[in-house]
Amino acid sequence: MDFILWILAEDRHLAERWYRLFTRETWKVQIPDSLENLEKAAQSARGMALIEIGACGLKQPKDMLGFSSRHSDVSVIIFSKRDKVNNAQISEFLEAGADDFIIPDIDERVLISKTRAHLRRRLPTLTCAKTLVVSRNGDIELDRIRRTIKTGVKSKRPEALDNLTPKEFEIFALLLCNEDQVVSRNLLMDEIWKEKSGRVNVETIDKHIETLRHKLGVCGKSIKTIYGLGYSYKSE
Amino acid sequence: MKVLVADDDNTFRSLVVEILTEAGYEVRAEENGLLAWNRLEAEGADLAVLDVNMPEMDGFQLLGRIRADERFRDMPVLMLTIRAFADDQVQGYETGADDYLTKPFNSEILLARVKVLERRILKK
Repeated sequence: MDFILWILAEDRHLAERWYRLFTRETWKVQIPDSLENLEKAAQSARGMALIEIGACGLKQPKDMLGFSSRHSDVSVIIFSKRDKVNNAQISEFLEAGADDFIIPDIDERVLISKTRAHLRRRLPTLTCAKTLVVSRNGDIELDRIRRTIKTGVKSKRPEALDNLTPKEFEIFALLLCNEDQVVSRNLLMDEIWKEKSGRVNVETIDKHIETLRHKLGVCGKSIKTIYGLGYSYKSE
Repeated sequence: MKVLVADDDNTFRSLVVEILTEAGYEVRAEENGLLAWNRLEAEGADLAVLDVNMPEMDGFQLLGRIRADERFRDMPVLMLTIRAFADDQVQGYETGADDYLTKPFNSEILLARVKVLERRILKK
């Protein structure tokens, strides 16, 4: 399932500025033209929404309450110019389900940090929201949109790795996203096999990892088995 | 719901304790980061509200220690501080804060933000 950042703002320029900001951070961003369209999109994707109070249907805390009850997978940051809302209103929106309140002229670095903090809670790691994932040593680049992997990026001749199956690609993306952390077999089952996870056994996962290691060549050694738990990617 | 509060300023600390206690939270308060850490280790907590500028161990150091410890890694933490510069806020979030509120603060907002963090715990 995709992870998307939606921006719903009355001020088109602000929406476009934030669109550029988050796109630069390699996040998948959409600007729906109404709350209704955002809700439609949220039915088939997880994500985070930056929604302006008053914009396109989110006028009262009860609207927030309704949205939160329909889309518990969507983290919502509401925003408004400071002179348009008072503290009591902000509190009511937060209590009705909003996760945060910001003002439109928030420092962009703070905005990025804030959204990362929210994502840490929503996803196993922040980087899973990214379309481009780079290993800590900078030597591997994985593009989730183009579905490409480059190895040896730091060398003069990077190589494209194009022989992974879709499942192997997703497993590698999840491991790379969670570099240095243990990715449990259960998480792999849920994230990769999704609704079919109940039909997948441990041996299937281990077999995929084995093949993946082989196809990754030298980099394959970076996938460590954590006995009894799962796997961890640790670049050399 | 147990809340750990760390602030070296008596006035602010008392105010935060009063607001949270009145709202029904079980509050433990300490006047510096080191004492707060010791209290956390001894008694645990569900959520923390931390000042930054404190003697012995500042709020960012305490936050770093919390995030590095398996027992408290997932505990929601709200930084409540006079340090309002963007760099400070970024440092707070990057160190692992879940929310960042600057002093002077509005009691309704503090309470609402603590409730947002509490909601995340209850959702799990």
